[in-house]
Amino acid sequence: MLPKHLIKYFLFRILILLATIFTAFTITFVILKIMPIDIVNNIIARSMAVTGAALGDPEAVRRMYEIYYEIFGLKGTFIEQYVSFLNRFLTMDFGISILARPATVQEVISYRLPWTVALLVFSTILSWVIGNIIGAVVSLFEGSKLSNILQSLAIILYPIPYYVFALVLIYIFGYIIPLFSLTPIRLPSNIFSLEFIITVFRAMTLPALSIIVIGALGWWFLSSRAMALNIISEDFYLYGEIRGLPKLHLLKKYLLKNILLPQITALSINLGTIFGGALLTEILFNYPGLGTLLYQAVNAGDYPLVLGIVSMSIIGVAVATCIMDLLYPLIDPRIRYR
Amino acid sequence: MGVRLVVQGLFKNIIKTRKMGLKFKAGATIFFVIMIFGLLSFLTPHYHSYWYHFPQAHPPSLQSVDFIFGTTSNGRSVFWSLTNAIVNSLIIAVVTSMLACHIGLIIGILSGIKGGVIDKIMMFLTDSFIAIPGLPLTIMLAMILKPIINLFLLGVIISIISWPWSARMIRAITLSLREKDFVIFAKFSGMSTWKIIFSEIFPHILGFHATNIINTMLGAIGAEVGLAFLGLSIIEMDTLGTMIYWIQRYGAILQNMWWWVVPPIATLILLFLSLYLVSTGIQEFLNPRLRRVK
Amino acid sequence: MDNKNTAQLLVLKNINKVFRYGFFGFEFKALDKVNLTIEHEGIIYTIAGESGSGKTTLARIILGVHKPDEGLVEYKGKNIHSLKSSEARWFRREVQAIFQDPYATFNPMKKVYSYLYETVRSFLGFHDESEINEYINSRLLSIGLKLDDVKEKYPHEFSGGELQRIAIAKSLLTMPKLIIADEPVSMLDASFRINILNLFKDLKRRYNISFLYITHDLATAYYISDFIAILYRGTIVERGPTEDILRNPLHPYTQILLDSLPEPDPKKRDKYMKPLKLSEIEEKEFTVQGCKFSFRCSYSNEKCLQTRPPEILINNRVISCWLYHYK
Repeated sequence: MLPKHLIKYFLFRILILLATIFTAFTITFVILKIMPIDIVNNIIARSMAVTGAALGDPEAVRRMYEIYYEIFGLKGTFIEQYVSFLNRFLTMDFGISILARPATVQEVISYRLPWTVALLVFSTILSWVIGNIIGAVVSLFEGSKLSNILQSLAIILYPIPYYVFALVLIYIFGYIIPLFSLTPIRLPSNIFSLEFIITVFRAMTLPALSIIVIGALGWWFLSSRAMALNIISEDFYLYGEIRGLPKLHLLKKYLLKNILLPQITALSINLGTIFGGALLTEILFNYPGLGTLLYQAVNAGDYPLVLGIVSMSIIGVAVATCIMDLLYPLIDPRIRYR
Repeated sequence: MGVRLVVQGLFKNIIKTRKMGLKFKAGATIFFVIMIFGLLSFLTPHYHSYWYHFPQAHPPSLQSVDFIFGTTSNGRSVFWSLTNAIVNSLIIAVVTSMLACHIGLIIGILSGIKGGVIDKIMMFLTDSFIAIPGLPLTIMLAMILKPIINLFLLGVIISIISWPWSARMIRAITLSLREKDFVIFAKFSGMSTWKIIFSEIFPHILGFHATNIINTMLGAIGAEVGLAFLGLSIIEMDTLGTMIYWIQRYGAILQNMWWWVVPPIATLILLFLSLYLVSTGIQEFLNPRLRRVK
Repeated sequence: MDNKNTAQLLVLKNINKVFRYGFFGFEFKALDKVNLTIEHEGIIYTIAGESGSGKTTLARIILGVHKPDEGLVEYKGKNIHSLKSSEARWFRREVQAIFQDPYATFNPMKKVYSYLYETVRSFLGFHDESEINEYINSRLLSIGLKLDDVKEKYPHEFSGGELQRIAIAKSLLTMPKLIIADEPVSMLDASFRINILNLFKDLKRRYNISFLYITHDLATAYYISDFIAILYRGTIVERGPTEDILRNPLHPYTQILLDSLPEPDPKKRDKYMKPLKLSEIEEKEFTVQGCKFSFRCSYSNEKCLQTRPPEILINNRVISCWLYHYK
């Protein structure tokens, strides 16, 4: 059974989660409210042009108007506007997607979401683990040639966004060494076949690679190395070294143990940035996730779908950060003891 | 003790040597070269704004300045596009960093100094902004504002997601400064709160503020490129983002039009690198302890 | 304002201060039920403790920088954490502060004179420049400094000891009743140290100023103070007249503390070779229910771990230890 203070902390953290989502939507509401533009008429003109005949049914047009009026808060009193806006965002009920009609926004998003989650989880965890380990290991060989090369490489990679690096990868792997197809993938219907796995693997490799290279060799490597060097300059590490502990032991018990906790916090703080970068990377590789969907939605003027993805991202990132925070005390001994 | 050393070090350095590290020099040099390149945009010939003025997809040649980097699939000179793109992207970056960093500065200092309810409200707002994933929010705004978009507005949109980080950091620094002996000492020497903010707290924030401005510029250039991928930047203008947008649109990479693909991407990477080097250079200068580490 | 003359100079009642880290809820008590009274002017009261005992936090609470989570700080009968702005000015005029590192207290970009000038102008309401200079000069002379030697100089042009003297001179400008001195000599050379301490004694005698002298150094405490409070992990374990406590320590912690003072006598070397129960238990010490010293104390039993010892009055000192509960 969990100790009392942990339960209190969990409940408190979940309360924070709800408050965050609520405030984030409120901020979105206010921002949309103060836009210096007649949004609804713009949208309707746009979507009429795109869908044209398909929405010839006057009933469908009327329903679409209604949803837009609710989303952009043009119906009823201010309080009513706010409540219906929140309701739409929390349930992600944005009606029918213009792009993928007659499917609803929820359906389209739920179809693409697993792809994005798979790419993100896989590449984020891998880059975090690789980067931290390399950073700690390299710090043991400070001043060597390898360390200097990796350090210079990291300084170049660190400020580059994933999606700019992805362009470089496309150039290399798409044109010079054409290993991967960059055309939109077509999934085999049988999800248990070997073909399916290969297709997924091929689709995922390049986007994952651009996230992992930048993430591991740029971000996590630099911060992990900096922390490791700080630890190495401390007395308790020197004492361990003088005692003649093997390097592997020093690495595991002295360096990694002290690096990983703050790095988990850093990861949870940066989830939003990583998520945004991954969305854009998807577009470049035609990866069938939320990012590519967002691209298609923007190009088709599919506002319901864009809003759906915005709402999905807010909830998704907030929940993911919350889950990481909830796991934290289970890892951090300082909190566990009490 | 630590503060004293840093402050003294800063003081002595400014007075005596003006010694900056290699990183700063390298970064500043690269940035300077890119800037000179950008300044050439003031010589842009009037015909640059027309499409199909030049032969399409012409490889580089030395017959005239227009052809130095070849031409694009829509018959425009890559050279002039690039020079204009550098200036426009930097304008967006400067607008963003001026807005975001100074909003962050004001909110951070007020929050840190006032404390209490004001601090709690401001930080709750800041945290909520941080919790919103920046990119989807910017995309939504850029999409809605597309009909009236311009360089300044784009900067404003990107600022909306950039300021909370500055505010949080500045507040953290202010909070730690507020408890420092020299601030208490100034308070017991009868200095007013405003005087303490300007003469005791602000000088210690200045270094962070400078690096923050540069880092925000870096982020803004990246964010503009991201928006441009979705066609949400200012398509009718040359920016580094829209150059890449058109490269994508015309499949220039797969046609191996390297003269069109390489200049904007290389410029972007060099720009990121130079700004990053300058910012870490300043950081190391302010805090020499970092020199060994990074 | 009538009770001003009758009220005690400084009273700390039941001060609690908790620091929290993040919203992970990791917290520790920097100060735990601290009581202390400086009866009147002209007293040097020492707060002694090792690093991490909460002595600097205590100083900051008295100066109004931190707010205690519970408890009161009263200066001349007024709660200093709920002063109106005019009262806050009065408080800052009557109570002044001196810190450990004079180079870190003076802004290196400013001439030290600007601090002197600002203090006089804003607290004493002088406006005429020559009048201000004359006043500053008279105060500086009283502790052996001259305005002309100080006026055009920046902090780094002084030695640590000189700068600390100027900090003291600055605090004297307002004619304070109480000076909070947080480790004022620990960063100075030994030769300056005695110099500053003698200055404190002298100021106490001449102007009837009280000092709250915060230190980790029992020798200097013994040299200048009238009363002493021993702070351990945020609690005061023993307080009373300095002479009594340092000559005859009753609390086990005070005894160990005095034992660990090195004496220049080779015959007593054995004493320092005795193993002391140290470190590794710090985490628990901040959160323990009972006496914070019970993990290291050789007399401790179950009761010490479970319940906080009450404050027990023995002769003229107050001690928190179960050993003396029935005496």
